[in-house]
Amino acid sequence: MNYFLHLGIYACIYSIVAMSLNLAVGYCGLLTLAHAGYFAIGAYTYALVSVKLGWGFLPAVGLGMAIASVASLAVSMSAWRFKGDFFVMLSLAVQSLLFSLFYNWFKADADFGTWANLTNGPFGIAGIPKPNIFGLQFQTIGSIALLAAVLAIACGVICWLLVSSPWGRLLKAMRDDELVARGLGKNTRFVKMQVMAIACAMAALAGSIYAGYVSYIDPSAATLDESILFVCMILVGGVGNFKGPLVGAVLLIALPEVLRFVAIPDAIAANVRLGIYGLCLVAIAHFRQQGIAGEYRIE
Amino acid sequence: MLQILANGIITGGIIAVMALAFTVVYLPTRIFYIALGGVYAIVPFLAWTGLQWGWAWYVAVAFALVIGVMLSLGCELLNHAWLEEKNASSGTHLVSSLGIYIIVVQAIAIIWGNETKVLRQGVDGVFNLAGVTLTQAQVGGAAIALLTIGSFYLWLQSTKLGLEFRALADNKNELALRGFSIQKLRLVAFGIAGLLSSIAALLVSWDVGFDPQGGLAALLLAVVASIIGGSQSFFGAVLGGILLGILRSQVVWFLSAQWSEAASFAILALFLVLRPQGLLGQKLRLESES
Amino acid sequence: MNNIIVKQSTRTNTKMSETSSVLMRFYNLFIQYGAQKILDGVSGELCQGDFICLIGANGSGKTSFMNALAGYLEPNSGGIVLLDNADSKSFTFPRSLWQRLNIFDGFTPEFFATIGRIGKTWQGGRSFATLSILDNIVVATADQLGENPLWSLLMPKRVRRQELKQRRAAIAALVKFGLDGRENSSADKVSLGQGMRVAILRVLWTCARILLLDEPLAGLDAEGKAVVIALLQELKASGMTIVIVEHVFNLPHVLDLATAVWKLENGKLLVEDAAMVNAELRRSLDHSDRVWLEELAGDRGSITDIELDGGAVLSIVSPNGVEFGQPILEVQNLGVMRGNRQVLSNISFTLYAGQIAVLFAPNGYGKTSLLDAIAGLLPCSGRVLLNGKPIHRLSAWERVERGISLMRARDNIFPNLKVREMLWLSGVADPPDNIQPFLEKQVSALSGGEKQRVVLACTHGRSSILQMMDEPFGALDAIGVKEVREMIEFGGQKVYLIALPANISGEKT
Repeated sequence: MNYFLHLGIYACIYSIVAMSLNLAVGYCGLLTLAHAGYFAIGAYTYALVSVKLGWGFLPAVGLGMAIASVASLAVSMSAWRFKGDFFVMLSLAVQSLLFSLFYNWFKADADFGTWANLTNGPFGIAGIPKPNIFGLQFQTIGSIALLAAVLAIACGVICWLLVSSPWGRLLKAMRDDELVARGLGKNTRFVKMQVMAIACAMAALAGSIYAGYVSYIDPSAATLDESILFVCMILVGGVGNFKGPLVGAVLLIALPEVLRFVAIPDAIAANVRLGIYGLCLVAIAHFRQQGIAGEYRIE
Repeated sequence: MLQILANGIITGGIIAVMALAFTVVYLPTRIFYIALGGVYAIVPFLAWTGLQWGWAWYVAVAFALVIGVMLSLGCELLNHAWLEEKNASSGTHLVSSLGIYIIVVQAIAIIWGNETKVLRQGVDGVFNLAGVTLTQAQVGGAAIALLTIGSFYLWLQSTKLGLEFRALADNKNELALRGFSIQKLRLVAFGIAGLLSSIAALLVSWDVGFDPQGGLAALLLAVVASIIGGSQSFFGAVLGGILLGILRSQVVWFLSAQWSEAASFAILALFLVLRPQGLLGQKLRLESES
Repeated sequence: MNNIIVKQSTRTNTKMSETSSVLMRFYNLFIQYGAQKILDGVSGELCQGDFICLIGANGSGKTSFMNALAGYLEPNSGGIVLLDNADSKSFTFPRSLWQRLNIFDGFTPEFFATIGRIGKTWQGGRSFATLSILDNIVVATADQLGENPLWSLLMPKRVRRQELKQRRAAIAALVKFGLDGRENSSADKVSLGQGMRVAILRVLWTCARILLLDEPLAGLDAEGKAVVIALLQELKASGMTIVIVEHVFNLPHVLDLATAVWKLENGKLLVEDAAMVNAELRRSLDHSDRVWLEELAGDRGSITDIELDGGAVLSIVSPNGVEFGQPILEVQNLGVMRGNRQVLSNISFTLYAGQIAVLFAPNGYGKTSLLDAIAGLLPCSGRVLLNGKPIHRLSAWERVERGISLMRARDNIFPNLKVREMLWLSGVADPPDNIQPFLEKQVSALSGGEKQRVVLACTHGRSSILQMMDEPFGALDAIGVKEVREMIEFGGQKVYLIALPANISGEKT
């Protein structure tokens, strides 16, 4: 039972990431390779303020989301000048930047959480407390699963509301023809900033849940491989609607579990998983550009 | 001061070779060849294996270069050419290229493992020129980079195939209307890109070693270099590479090696604001005109 | 028109008024691409109620000029001033560093749209394809509360109210524009004429007071044109300021409405009188191409006219008394798609050696698409046979090997090569005398006329059995036209397929 709850929590976490990327990629056409960085911002923020300052879950998550939103400017400003292919590379630059931030803000002799050693570098931060909302402690796996599910559903509802609002219509118009939208007086650069801010904030939320559940965070959550996993998830699942990201998230969970049954040696399990994803990407590009269940074909 | 400059020019030269490799595919075909990072990653491993099997260094190098070029040609023949047939969008090409990159890198990790390796043991000999200290690897690297870039330019400007290639970058349709096979020229592009990136990979791995993850980082530097120098010309990529090398070595000196990523990004941001078309680039026509 | 469009002009006769308010001023605009000067010191002003026809040869910079006035293209130097009674906002080029960094006050299309109240329409309409017609209009509303994600979540009732109000107004406007009943159709399913009306209504919905229209009549049938022209008349009567670029065959319709004509020539702007230009135009549009065909036929040949789907005419000049053997070119049921739109469908014809076929079709018909598809540059459905053998599966260069040659109208040079190199690629061993002087120059540095000479010289490089030409007379003067006409041999071994612009058959100029 616990095994399924464990998978369920991960499914919720990745669904939130998938929905956030759906906004950025499926509605704005911004394929970003930096998302793991923002996931990690949420995780690290929650870790630091709950361990060092004793904050509860909600304020910690709020702070994480705020920081991620502001940091999303790095990606959205890249989108001003470049779209499509070059933007992907710029997001890669942001990714390298964020990763090196988490990896290098470290001093061996200082205690973590101080300005000299904010992230504890490669050692990571351990002993992160489980979520605590106004005194209600979410200790058991069942309660955390519930929390994760509620948050995932909340994100889904908010995304749905946004997409069906005039703002969502503006996104679709921008996606169809950005130059014409600008000619109608729409400040598309500002809108892209909003989209990235929301997407990065949601990624940070997912990161906080992850940190609260696993109780340990280190820079491996912010690597390029993680970003690539996220991107694969939504490209294979599909973007532009609501089914696609969910399919992608489920696939992301299911694949390693399936591999477990195929008795692949542990040392290369992660590599095989990523390799399969690479294969899926090539297959999608050739045969089904909208992904398994998506609506928007990559431009 | 001169030392930093010299270091910068030499690293810049190698970045320039990679930037040229990227541009050689991008300019004529508008394909964002991410899988080039995969070629970059696998070549040193091949050379290493050759050395492990007791081959002489030039045999191992030749082996690695040939496989690198073949891999690059394979990308075009088995992937991009197909997509082109179906009139795929550039985003689709990019996603497929990313997929191939991932497959190649994971294959490397499975076959050779994830740790960093080196191609040679021991300490390098050093030279002293006009007060500047250069290692043997640096001097060799600079010479080969120069030779490579120089040969490319000679080929581009004075041979028939080079002319066809320049024409391809200018106007693919008009070239096709003159009876020249675009298919063949694209293969030439991918082949040259494979060769150039293999050379760059070997130069870097000879100097500092290599690991499966290095490809995309090198490609990123190459793309930044081509943006800075002007992504509309071959020469722009080279100029951008050298400039990037110099600027990065300044940063590494004054801050530390850890901040070189941030430095690349900051330089790029500066250029995007001040001169988005790059140093040698020209004002772009509105992309909407069709 | 409904009162959403523009504040009613308080003056009764805008043309004669001494106190016309100036809405926009531009001075010394200079635009250069590489070695090519597009605009070379262009100055002028736009007053309220003006109806300007912007004319000039292909490639003369009309589109770049319009893009600059709409905020899309930054000139290399000069200035633009937007005026609004007391306020004025001026932009000088090149923009300084501080100006470029300042994200609020930039030279951007959205700023020109909101502050300058300038609206631009594009050729073909360019509606938002995944939105319905109604959404296309409503999305253009300015200052929507719902366009801020925060407010759309926190103030849903107010957003909803605003939205409903806009939708009702938009539906009413759509009725006035003759589009009732189509509100919920997806924008990519309507006809070209309807799409153009949607585009104009959309831009009016932003409360624009200056309209920059880029070939609004392109590709429309007679009925479509009539509707759009009536619309323009009403807009002019209500005091809207309009700058319109139109293809030479559609100009007479709009010149009747024009208050002035701006002519772009060699990078300079000349202001001319509309009536004079109109008269001159009507004189030159005397079917001179048709006369040429009749001269060519003389008494050695005869002309057959075939009507093609979509309003084009294929006039074939055939030599008399010749037994036709195997056809050189057979086109069967050709169809071409551009994106989601079917540009051509059901095109079939057969051509034999010695014939000259001229495709007379209006702008926007798809002449270029047809020639490109036969040459292999565009994918198509249907069959194409050359000398009896199917070539529609072959790549362009393979078709060239078999004897197809195409001279394109635009994008037909290698900008970064030298003239000598371009000629070499075309197989021209001996460059003609009139090109010798600039053999070593870079092609992009040539003037328009010199470029055309080079393009023409290139066609002599390869021998071919099917020579196609896309609007070959476009950028030429009288001597150039004569030269090209003399080049076309009638009754020989080749067959020619030439695309020329024309009015829709049956329409009189």
